[in-house]
Amino acid sequence: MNNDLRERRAARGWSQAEVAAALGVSRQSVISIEKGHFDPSLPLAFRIAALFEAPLEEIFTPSPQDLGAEPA
Amino acid sequence: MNVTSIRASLRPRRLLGIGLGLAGAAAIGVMAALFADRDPAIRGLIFALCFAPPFVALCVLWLDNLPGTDSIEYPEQSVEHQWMQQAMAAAFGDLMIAISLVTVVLGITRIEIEAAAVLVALTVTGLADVSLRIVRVTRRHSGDAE
Repeated sequence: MNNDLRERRAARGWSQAEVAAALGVSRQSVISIEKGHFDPSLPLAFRIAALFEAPLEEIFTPSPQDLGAEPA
Repeated sequence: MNVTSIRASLRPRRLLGIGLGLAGAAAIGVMAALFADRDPAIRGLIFALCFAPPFVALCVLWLDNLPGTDSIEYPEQSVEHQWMQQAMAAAFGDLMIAISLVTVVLGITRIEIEAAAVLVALTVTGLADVSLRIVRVTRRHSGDAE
């Protein structure tokens, strides 16, 4: 799953620690989500969407593998 | 609240956790000494020393994650929780394989081993397996931070 969390966070001038505190998770979780190494749970994804005041599907987009397509 | 103030607020609880853990380990040492046939002091000391690290770690983790504190609000949704779950699941699989192999070997060779020794070996193997997996995944992602 892809996301533009890093760009949205940078646009608002927030640090990873601040975002992590606002979401109630560890800073490593935010780092891993931004790197695409960790898919957040649905409740966490909804909190991310609420924090950045954007629809879930704008922040998170499925990769071809998520949609069942064969990797290129 | 910034990271520095969170760390500062955690310090007293960590000290309390260390104290509680050491007290628990000392209690185990006293119990071991009471049940010793000989050299109660040495037996108690060994038990206390062995139990101190896990007891301290458990107490610190427990106090750090108490609700209503500055701890992480949703630890179960953090990536560390996922790492721990994956490490424990993998270690459980490893233990199942180890138990099966040991059972087969003991069944064929008819070697008799004390049950306590087998249990200790399996416990140490499982804990070491989880620890190594956690260390590996933590080190793999340690370079991700900005």
